[in-house]
Formats: sequence, C-alpha cells, structure tokens
Amino acid sequence: MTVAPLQLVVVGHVDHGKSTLIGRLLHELGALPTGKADELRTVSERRGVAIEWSFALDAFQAERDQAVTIDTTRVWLRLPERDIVVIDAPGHREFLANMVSGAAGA
Amino acid sequence: MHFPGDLVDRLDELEAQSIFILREAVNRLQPLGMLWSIGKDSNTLLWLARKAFFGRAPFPVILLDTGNEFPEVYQFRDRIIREWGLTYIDAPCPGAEETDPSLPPKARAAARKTLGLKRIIAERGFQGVILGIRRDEQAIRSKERIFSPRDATGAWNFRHQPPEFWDRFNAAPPPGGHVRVHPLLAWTELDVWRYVEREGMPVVPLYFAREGQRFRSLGEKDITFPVPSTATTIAEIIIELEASREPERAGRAMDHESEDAFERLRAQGYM
Repeated sequence: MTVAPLQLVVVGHVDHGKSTLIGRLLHELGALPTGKADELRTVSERRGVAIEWSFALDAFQAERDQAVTIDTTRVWLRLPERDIVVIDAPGHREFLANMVSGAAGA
Repeated sequence: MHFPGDLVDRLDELEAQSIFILREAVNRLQPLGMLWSIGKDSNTLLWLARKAFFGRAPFPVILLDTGNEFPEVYQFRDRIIREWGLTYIDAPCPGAEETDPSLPPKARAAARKTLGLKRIIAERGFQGVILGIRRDEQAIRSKERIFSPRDATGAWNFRHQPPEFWDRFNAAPPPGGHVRVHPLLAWTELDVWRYVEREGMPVVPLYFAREGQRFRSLGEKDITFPVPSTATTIAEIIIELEASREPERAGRAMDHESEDAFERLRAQGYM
C-alpha cells in the first residue's frame, strides 16, 4: 500500500518569500530534477539576478518578469517516510481567489 | 473523500477522485470527447472511464493524428479500439506551415495538434474535452485547474483562471468556448506506473528498454527521443523512476527550445 501524501499549503503576505522558500527547500533536499538549477540560473541571469529559486514554481513569464506568484502551483517532495505535496499560493491580494484555490487542496 | 490522518491507499484515492471528475464531466458537459494520445496517461484515463461507466467509455476517444506517431502506437491503437469497443475519432492535424510562424520549429510541429484539436472541437461542437495531463510533468501544467475553460478561439486565459474549491467544479463553458477536463492532474508519473502494474493494464511496448534505451514520454517520432534505460518490465520502470532525478519530458524536444515555448503553446490551446 502506498499512503496518500501529506498536502501542505504555504500562504502569507506578498513578497515575503513563500515561493523562494519552497524552491530553495526543493533544491536543498535534492528534489529538483537534474538540470533544473542550471536552467533557473540561466533564466534568472537573463533578468539581472544571480538565481531566483522562486522560478522553480513561478513558471509563467509574467510571474518571472514581475517577480510575483500569480497562480497556485503544486510540487511533489518524495521523502523516505512519506511523500509531501507542497502547494504554493500567491500572496498578492489581487490573486486571493487563486490563493484559496491552492489552500483548498491542502 | 477522507479525513485528515486517515491512512488511505494512494492509488484507491486517486482512482476514486478521477472517477468522480469523469462522472461530473459526463453529467455536465455534452457533447464531450476524450483525447487519446495512446500513451500511458491517456490510456490510464480511458481505463478509469471504463471503470466509471460500467465497462464502456460513454464518449468518443480522439487521436490528434499528425501521421507522425510511431508504428507501434498505431498498432496498439487498432488493437485497443477492437478489444475495448471504442468509439474512435481520427482528427487529422494541419501541416506545420499553418501554425504560428513565430514559435520555435519543434514547437510548431507540436502546434499542429492545437490546430487539429480546434478543428475537431468546431466540427463536433464539443462543450467538454477530457485530457490526461498531469501537474508533475511540466511546470506550466502544474498551474492548471481540473475544469479549465477555453474561450471561443481555444485560448487559455491563464492570468484569470476560475477559482476551484474542493470538489466544486466550474463546468460552464465561456460563450462559444469549451471546458478542458483534467482528471489526472493529481497523479504523478510513478502513480501512473504503479496503477498500470496493479491493474494489469496494456501499454505500448516502446516504454520498455531495447538496446539500453526506452521512451519515457511518447510524442511524435520527429520530436521525441528515447532515454537511457535498462527497464524491460513495469516493475523495473517503477524501480528506475523511484531512484531517478531525470525529468520525465527530457526526450521531448519542444519543451527545451526556449524559456517561454511551452507557455505560448498552451496559451494558444495546446494540451
């Protein structure tokens, strides 16, 4: 039997680093696919920053160009004890409905 | 549904959720069709549809046919149509010269399917189209809703997606548009293979290694490439994937041409 994963949502104020925290966490735990960190470095440098870990989740061009999460994303974290689905939710008040759509999945 | 803390078998839970979504789609969106690329995901979807409706999918299955699928895929298609008694629609796709010329070349090859899809939707008046995409296979797909509206041009307005709370789905198509239904969004690649193994489901033999290579993701033969592998059984594929950090779509050329290629494809109506 495979146990259902724990569903975890990260919510909070805009620009406080929710996506960045999750992106960095995925990297530290070795959960990013091969080549992903290099790809993030390339697309970050294109925008004049060294590396933006939030781009692991913020895949839309509009999100990367404006450095803001617009819509919720789900990523998988495979841990020895149990899998975790991490749900990133936007913090900007304009995207409140997207935040709740994400939170409803947790 | 289950309560927090319950230990529920992952595959049972996914299966139940997908069957619920399929029944919602059939109940609320007519006419309805299902895209069947004949890969592991849309095959799983078809398997679930047969479970949801007493052995027979109550909608046609559609292949967006570029004529460029692998011969093994066409052979598998013919066998399954016969064995499962499917209502099958072959939707021919226009040539790459009719696609958006500003897309990169491999993306243009993929965009043929967008045009074929738009054409068959207009021809049949589909209000709903069921697709087997998953959140874990691609970062743009990971932003999708389960019920996802498309406007009259087939475009995806990803900046303004409708809210989707728990199992409350917005199944109203926009005027002149349709709704994409994604019952497999919550499945991972490993979930699919574990389910294929548990159910004893048939798959296209290209997924198994021959001479040290296998296809991990199936697309058209001119833009899809095998990856190194020694897995010759489903059990070996599962073991391989449990240890792998390679991305699933590494062999899909269209994903890697430019940073925004996949977003642009999907915004224009690609799967």
